[in-house]
Amino acid sequence: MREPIKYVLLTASLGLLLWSLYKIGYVLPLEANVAAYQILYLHVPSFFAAFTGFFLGLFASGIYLATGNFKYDSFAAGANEVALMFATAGLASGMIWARYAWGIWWTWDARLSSMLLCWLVYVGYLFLRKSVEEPTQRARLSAVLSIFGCVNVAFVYKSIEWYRTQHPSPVLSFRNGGDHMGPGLEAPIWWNWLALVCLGVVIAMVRMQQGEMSREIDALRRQAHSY
Amino acid sequence: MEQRELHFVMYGLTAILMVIVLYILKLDADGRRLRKELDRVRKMVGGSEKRD
Repeated sequence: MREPIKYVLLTASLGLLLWSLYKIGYVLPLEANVAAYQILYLHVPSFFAAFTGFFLGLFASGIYLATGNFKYDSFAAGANEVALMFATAGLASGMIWARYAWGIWWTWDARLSSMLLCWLVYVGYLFLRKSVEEPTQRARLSAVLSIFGCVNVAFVYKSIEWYRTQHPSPVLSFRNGGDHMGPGLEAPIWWNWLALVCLGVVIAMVRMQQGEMSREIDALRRQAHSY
Repeated sequence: MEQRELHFVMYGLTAILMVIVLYILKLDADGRRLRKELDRVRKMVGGSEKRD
């Protein structure tokens, strides 16, 4: 059952990305000032896909702590790992934007610093999972860290409204403050977000299968030691 | 659209795609390593059961 879903999601993701890129490049009437912000069409969806993954990781971690079912631990690990990949992509594209717009690759403003901190917390999450051998302890500790990390995600999201530092203020119409792009220009951001979420789901499914294999290996090793 | 702007979008897209592709390659390598390890442990446990 899993395999056909993967192929459908992967096809949908690639189709949406290509269609959206075509719209960005050749259809949308970009004014000169908006043209300078074109990278937003990939930068913002990367972070939205990352935040979606971190929140899914938070819910799965909460359910794991409540039920003790390892499937939710595997799901949380997959969601957080994929989310970290999207956050890395978002940071990389943001640095390219910064080099173009500000002439520097990085600055220690509120948004960038809080996002870097968030990124480091989730890198720590992955290291924690690798360093703890006992499965129950690993799952419990990483669930707690996932919940802690998600508090920071909420702070990163709101930081451009709370702190007016170097990072541009919000451009999407549903957010407070900033110069909004307008609904017509916003649409590709949402399509790209959907495309990246579809891709993320496929990768998280593969990652979950690997988690199940890891648990089977652990169980077989314990069985071998008991002989 | 200005040529420079199109290039600029492409740099961003390339950065994002590179991160995704590198991650997928790592995922594939992890999967192969796990399958190999699972086969090895299964054989090991199978052997132990036969001896018992």
